[in-house]
Amino acid sequence: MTSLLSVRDLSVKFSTLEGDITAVDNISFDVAPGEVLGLVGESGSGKSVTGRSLMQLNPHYAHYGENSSMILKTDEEEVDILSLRKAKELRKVRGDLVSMIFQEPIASFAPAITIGKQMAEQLMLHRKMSFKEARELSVDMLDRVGIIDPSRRFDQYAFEFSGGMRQRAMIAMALSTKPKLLIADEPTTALDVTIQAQVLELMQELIHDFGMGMIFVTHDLAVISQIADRVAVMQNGKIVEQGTVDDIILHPQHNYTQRLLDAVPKLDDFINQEDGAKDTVPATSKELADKAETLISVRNLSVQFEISKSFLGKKNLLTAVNDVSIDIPKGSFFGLVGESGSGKSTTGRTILGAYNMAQGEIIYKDDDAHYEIAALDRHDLKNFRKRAQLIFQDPYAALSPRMTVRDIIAEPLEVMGITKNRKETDERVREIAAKCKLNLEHLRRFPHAFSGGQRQRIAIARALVCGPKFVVADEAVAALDVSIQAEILELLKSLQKELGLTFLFISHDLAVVANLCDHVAVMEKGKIVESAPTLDLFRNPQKDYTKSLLAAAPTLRTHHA
Amino acid sequence: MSAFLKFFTTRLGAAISTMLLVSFVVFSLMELVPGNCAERYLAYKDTQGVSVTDEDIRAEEVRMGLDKPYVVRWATWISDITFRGYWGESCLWRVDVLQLVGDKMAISMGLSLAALILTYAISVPIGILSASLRDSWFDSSLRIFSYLGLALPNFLLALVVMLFSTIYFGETLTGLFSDEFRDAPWSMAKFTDMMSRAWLPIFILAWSATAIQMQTVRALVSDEKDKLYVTAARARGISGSYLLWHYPARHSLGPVINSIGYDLNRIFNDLPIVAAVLVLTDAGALLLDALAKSNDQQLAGAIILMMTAGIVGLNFITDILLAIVDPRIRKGFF
Amino acid sequence: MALLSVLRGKRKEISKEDYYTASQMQLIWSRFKAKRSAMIAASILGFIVVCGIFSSFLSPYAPDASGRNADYVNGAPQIPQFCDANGCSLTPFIHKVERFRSVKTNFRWVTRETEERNYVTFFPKGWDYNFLGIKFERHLFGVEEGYVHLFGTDGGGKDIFSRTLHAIGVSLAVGTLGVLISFVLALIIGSTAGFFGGFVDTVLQALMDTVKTVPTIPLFMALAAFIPQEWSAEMRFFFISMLLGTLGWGTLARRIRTHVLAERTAEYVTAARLCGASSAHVIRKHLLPSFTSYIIVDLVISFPYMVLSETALSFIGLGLKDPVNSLGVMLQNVTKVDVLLNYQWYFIPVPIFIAIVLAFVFVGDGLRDAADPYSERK
Repeated sequence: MTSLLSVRDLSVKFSTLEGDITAVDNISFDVAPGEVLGLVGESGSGKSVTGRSLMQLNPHYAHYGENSSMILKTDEEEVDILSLRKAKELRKVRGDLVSMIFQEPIASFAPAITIGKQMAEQLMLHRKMSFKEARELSVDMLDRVGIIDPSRRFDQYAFEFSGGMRQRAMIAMALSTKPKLLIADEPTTALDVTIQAQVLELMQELIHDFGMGMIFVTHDLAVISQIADRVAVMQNGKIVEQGTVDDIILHPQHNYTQRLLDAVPKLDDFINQEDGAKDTVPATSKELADKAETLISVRNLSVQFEISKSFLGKKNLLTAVNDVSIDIPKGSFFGLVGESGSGKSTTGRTILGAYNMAQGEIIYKDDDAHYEIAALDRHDLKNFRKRAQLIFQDPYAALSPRMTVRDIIAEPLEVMGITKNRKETDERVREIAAKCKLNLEHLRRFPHAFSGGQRQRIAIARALVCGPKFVVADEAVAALDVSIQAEILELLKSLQKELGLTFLFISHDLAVVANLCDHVAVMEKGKIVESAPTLDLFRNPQKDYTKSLLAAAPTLRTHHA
Repeated sequence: MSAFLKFFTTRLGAAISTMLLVSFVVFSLMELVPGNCAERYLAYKDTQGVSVTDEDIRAEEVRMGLDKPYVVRWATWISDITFRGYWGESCLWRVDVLQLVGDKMAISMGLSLAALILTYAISVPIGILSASLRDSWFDSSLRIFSYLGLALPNFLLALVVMLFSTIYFGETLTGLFSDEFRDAPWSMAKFTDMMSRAWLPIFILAWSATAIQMQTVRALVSDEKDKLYVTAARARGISGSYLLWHYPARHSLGPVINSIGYDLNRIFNDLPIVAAVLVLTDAGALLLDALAKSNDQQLAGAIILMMTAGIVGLNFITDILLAIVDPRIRKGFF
Repeated sequence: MALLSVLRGKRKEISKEDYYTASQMQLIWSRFKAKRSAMIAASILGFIVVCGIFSSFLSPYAPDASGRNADYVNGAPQIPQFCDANGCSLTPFIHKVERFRSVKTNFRWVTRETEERNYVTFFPKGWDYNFLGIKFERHLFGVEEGYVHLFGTDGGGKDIFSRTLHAIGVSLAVGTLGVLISFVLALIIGSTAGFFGGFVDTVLQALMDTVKTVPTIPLFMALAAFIPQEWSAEMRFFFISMLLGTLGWGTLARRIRTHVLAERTAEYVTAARLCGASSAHVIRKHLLPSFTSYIIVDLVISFPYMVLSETALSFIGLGLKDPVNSLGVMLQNVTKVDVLLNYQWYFIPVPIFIAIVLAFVFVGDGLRDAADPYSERK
């Protein structure tokens, strides 16, 4: 079979003031008609640049290698993509033979032009249709991707669509010209898991029906294992390994691929494991959970936010957390999962006293202390803060760029007056930095010297320096690449053991939670849907919502399809 | 529609409250200056040879209502303006302010609006063009031009123009009317005469605003050009001027429209000084006249309030225009 | 990483570790240095400021009536030269002038140049002046006999060169004072609005909007006109500066508010608060360091507007007045046809004024680009 697209020796360099940066380094791959090629890599691997190169969408300071060639071959014609120069010629690949879907559905639609107009203008341009014909076809396409009431939706704007609907509309738009090749650049990364599952299913179905090839660019190996026929793994601009999806997922040859695969948290393995098969097996039995003392007890918690105020001062309230009760056992990893807007972060931060609660009570009970969060006076609040800390999601925003690492980690000590002098402070800082596996030489550096993973270590060190008993980790690994994510999770595990910490681990990622936590609570729209020991919950979910979440969670295939 | 109506009333409410606040500030400032209107009038009479006693001043204050409390006088002032269109009486000349400045205010507003239109007629297309030719020689020369717009303020430009026109043409190009029309009643001929001379002040008034606005438009369109939806449109094969005008240019319109009010402010700031240089007999020059020589707070307050009302009104109109252009506001998404 | 290579690309080799341990100010400075236009503008600005500060030393004559040269009224600039028809000399000189009248001139007094040389001298004794409270009488240069007028003289016979130097000093002083006053107001109002938010924010924002809406120059004029005629030059100076300051804070306050608001909700500030940090700690350790660089930029950028407003006000006779010199005061009389036609050297301060404003704009631009050294990473 001849290939639809054959890329040979593609190199992309960006010329900047400081010299050339090689983003893509001599890569070659093919896509057969009707085939899905997964292009996988961590951030900075050059996978998105590769995708954009196929339509020459890189910025004007990008240069392609002299030997690079990208040939697109259909039954009717053969196009050398890199030979196209003028916008008119480029139209052949832009929107005609090739279409593209982007990561951020809201950002990829023009905000002040109706979805329909954006769809129709493309058809009028490429297929020489009248507006009426273009409209009919577009409405059909919207209907095809499962958008209800498509003819009304046609005249709406992107902001009137929900996230999942937008990505559906984007797919409809990309496919309406019946391209031969679809490039999907992280199309589901910004979506919640349930929506992601629906969109992936839709894409698979449509690709099959339309008989087109697809390049699916993503960082997510689990998603790739579900959707791709063949996979190319990228690292630092190079393809380190490519082959059929089974070969890559089940029999990886290259070190890097192996490492990536190992780092992916696996949900199936976890659910199907034998009881007691692994030494990290979380406590499953009821007795064990009952035996442990409760450190944090939340009863009937509700939190409300004022979203707007009308003229007459009537407040519009949003109930972010609604009648939530949980018990967090001492020394455990307690997982709180949910999709965006489910109220999980608000719950976590309210427990730390960051927000006022509208109702309910939160009790912290330790061997030597007992606090009721809502009724803390200044002195108690100070003592409570020594015991309860927060780790943030974004390691970039969470560290002041103007302070050295030493000062950042020392800040809690100084603010709370825990240490008496500089020497003592330095000792404590060095001690915790060593525990978080930070290089002590680096303490005088500023955060701008560090990568995301190292920054997260610094953030963890800051949270732990005052010796807390309880830590809320709010999506603490969500912003990290998968290999780094695994390292940080390992670090959290070892710190928990060493320091006897109790974690409230907030995450949207079921696989991560499954592998880390002893007990999981599922939240939806501000309420706890279900709460159970991890293995029980994942093996026998009781509620429909939990079931749908589990079904939607992308899992890395560990067997032949 | 109801979302739009809500937006409309909120904006109207905001405009009215801004106006009230402005009127209060202006009124207070005019109160703060030494001497009140009655003293000023009688002092003026004094210079005309009429001798004035303290009782006269008291009587005059009572007659003018100056003995009433401060807030009451402010309320009277503002309600007279709003409901009766009565802007008060000049302290010195005892004439209705509107009668005194009416014509001149109209000319000033006309000149300013003409300058505003010229500003946008030049800066919007050139700014957009410059953004689309980013990093070209055209773009960099525009940059230098806009720096000049800041460094060579309008009144200096007026001076320089006068300097060169005197040297090379032997004429200063000043004044808004020829001698024969200066005091003539309004007629078609007078209007044509004015227009034949008005181009220079209009051009000079528009100068700085154009130079700065051009750079703003360029920056806005330039930012917009880097957004994902523009890349997405390019990925669909849309290109050239269609892409430029329908995508980045169209979407940066909002902030551009929003800045119209502030540009009018800028032009109002330049007006009195340019008018002084070019010897125009419009309200700006009158303000200069009224204030520099005889300290007429009633007149000054009225003129500043009129100018601010112009700006607030324009801001309100642009807000509404913006809502019509931007579906997010129109449909109450914000 | 891009920034790292910028730093390394410079001739001076900077080690990685130096970059990693560079504080915000060091990063800003190295970025600013890398920008040539800003560096040139900064050195020009520095030169002009020094001229303004040492104006009395640099000017050969007093800038007021006491330094007038009655024999050289409306005189053209005299450029020192090294050569003339009679040969060359090592010391620069000008030609002496004489006043005479004859039938030819309708018996009016006319000034004309003679063949006689008048050599330039350095560090001569001249008029007394005060600098930092100490009396001096030495000046940079003068001539052996009589007067030298580099930029010519005005209608009163005053030396335009000396007046210009003093005008620079005064204009910069008014600007500095005005910027400082508006800065203090903007800092208080803007940071209060940003820090407390809610109702306080709404009210203060309405106030900022109002202040921004009123056209300032007409308002300046309205207020400046009420300055009593009998006020001294110094009082006028302070009053005008205060006026510029109290009416010019709107834009600055809004920008400070935005900075504070963005910073207040930053996650590292939340982290500090969750450690129990007091507001004072947050302001001192996080808010202030984070926006000092922006504030410096804003101050530099708003400076030319202050100078411009002062010039405009003085120009129409409502700001500073003789004998205080400012650029605006010096331009007061230039619109006369007589001046336009015959005495174009009255315009010499104009390019200098433009140079000041341009220098501020370029320095401001350079600072703005350098002020946020962390933005490009991530």
